[in-house]
Amino acid sequence: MLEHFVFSYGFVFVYAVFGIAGFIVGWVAQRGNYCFVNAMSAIFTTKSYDRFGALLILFGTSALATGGLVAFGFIPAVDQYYDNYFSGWYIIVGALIFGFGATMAGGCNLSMLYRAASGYVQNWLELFGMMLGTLIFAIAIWPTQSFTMTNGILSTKEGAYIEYLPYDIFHSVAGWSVGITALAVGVPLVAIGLYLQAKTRRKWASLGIGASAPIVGTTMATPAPALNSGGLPIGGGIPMIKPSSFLGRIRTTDIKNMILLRMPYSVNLSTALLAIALLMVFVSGAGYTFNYLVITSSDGGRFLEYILMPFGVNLALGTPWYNNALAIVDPSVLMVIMLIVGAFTASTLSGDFKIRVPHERKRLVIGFLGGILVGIGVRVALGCNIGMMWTNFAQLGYDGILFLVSMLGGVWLAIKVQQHLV
Amino acid sequence: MSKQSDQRKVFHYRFLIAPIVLLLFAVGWYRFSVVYIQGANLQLVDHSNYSVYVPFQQISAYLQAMRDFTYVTVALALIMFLYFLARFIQFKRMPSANVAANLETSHS
Amino acid sequence: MTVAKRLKNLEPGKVIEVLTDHQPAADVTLPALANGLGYQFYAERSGDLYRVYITKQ
Repeated sequence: MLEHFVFSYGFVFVYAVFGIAGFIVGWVAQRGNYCFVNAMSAIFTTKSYDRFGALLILFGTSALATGGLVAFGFIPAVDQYYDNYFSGWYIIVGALIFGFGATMAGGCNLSMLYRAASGYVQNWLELFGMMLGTLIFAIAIWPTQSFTMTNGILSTKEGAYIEYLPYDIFHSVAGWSVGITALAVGVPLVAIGLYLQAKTRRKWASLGIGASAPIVGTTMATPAPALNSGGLPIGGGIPMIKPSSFLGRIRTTDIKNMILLRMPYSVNLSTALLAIALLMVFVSGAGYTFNYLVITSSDGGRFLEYILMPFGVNLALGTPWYNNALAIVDPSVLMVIMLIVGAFTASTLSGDFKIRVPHERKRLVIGFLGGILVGIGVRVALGCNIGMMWTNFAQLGYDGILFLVSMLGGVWLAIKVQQHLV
Repeated sequence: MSKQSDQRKVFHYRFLIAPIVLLLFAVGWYRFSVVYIQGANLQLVDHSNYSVYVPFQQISAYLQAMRDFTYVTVALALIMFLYFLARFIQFKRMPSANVAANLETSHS
Repeated sequence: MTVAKRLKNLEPGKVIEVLTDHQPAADVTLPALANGLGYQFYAERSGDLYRVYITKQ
C-alpha cells in the first residue's frame, strides 16, 4: 500500500466505485457476449477477426487513457506502475495453460462468471474447478515458482518500475515519457484492431448482408429456408435482429432495442463501456489499492477460502500463497460480487436466464477439468486475461504481450484437441 | 392465421424465482461477510499473520459499502419480482389460444 | 465445430438447422461461421430456443 492517497475520499468510496464498476462489467459482458476466449478462437475456427480486433482496441484504448491521465498529471506515475507484475517464465507457461484450459472449459474468467450468473451449469463447474486448481497451485507450484521469482531464475526479481515501459525505454517516469509510451503502445493496438474489424466486415459486406435486416447471410434469395404458408420460416419464431453496428453503423432503433434489452450490445459499444469501467477503478483506487480490474484473486482464490470458513478452515493461516499473497478481502471482492449481480440481473431482465445443462454430459467433466487448468494457469501467470493481460496494457508493461501470444497458443492447441473430440 | 400466434405462450416461473434468489444471495453474502470474513480477519491477528490481514479501517469500509450494495440489490430484486409478477398476472388473464402478447418473445 | 463438420459433408443446396439455447451461438458464432464460408443463413428465436438455418452454397 502506498503512503499517500491521491484523492482523499476514503475507502468506502473506493469500495463503492469498484462495486459499481463490477456491476457495469457484469452487465455489459453479459449483454455483449464478451468473451476473450471466443474472440481468439474465432480467429482459428471461423476466420473472424471482428471480436479479436475489439480486444486490441480495448487494450489500446486502456493504455491511451491511463497513460494520458498520468502524462497530464491527473494521476501520479507511481499509481500506474506500483503494482506492475514480475516477468518471467511463468507468464508464458501460465498463459498457455490458461488459454488451453479456458477454451476447453468454455470461457475465459469474465465469460465464466457472467455465464455462470446466466445459468450455465458447465461454467459453475468451471468455477469450482478453478478454485481447486488454485489450491493445487498454492500447494504444489507456488513454493517453487516463488523461489524462482525471489532468486531471479528466468524471472525478474521485482515488478513496479522495472516492468514499466516508460522507464525501460526512457529511464524516466515523467509525463512526457509516459505520454510518448502510451501513444506508442495504444495507437498501434487501436489501429490494428480497427483494421482487423474492417477487414472482417468488408468480407461480410461483400456477401450482401443487410445491415438492417434480420440475421441473414444474404437477402432471402433462393435457396432460402423453407417458409410456411404464412411466409414465416419453418420454426415460426421471431427473426433475430442484428444491430447495424454489425457492419459499423448504429441506428436509433438499435440504441432503443439495446436499452430495452431486446438486442445484444455491439462489440465496440461493449468495449467502450468496459474501458470506462477500467478507468473508474484506475482513478478511484489510485493510492488506495490495486487500481485495476481483478477477478481471479477473488473467484478462484478467495471464494474457496470463504467456502471453507463456515467449516472452521482458514486457508490464510497456514496454506502457502493464501497465507502471504492474498489479502482476506479487498475492493476486487466487491467488484466480483457485483459483477455476478450485474450479469444475473441483465440475463434475467433480458429473458436469457435459464439453467442450462449441456446435452453431452461429458462437457460437464471437461468444464471442471478445464477449470482446474484455468485455476493453475492464472495463478502461475500471476493473473488472468483481465487482471494480467488487459491490466498490463493499461499499466504500460510488457507482460500483456507475452500473455496475449501465449494465450493464443493455448487456445489454438485446445481447438486442435476439440476438433479431434468432435 | 400465422403459426406464431397459434402457439400457446408459456410463462417460465424461473423469472419469478430468480429475483428471490438474487435477494437471498445479496443478504446472505452480507451476513457471511459480517460473520465469517471479519472473523477470519481477526484470526489472522491472533496468529500474528499481518501479510494478509486487512486493517480495521479497510474492512469496515468493505462492510459499509457491502451493506449499501445489499440494500440496492434487494431493492432491485424486489422491483424485478414485482415486474415479473405483473407479467405473470397479465399472462394468466389472457385467453388460452390466439395470444396476442408473448411474455417471452417480447424480449426478442 | 460440430456444425462446421456437418456442413463439410452436406450437399450444396441443402439446409442445416441448428437448434440451441445458447444465444451467443445464434448471434455471433454461427453467423460468423456461415459468413466465413460464404453461406446464406437465417436466425430466429422461438421462446427459449434459437434456430439457425445455414444453406450450403
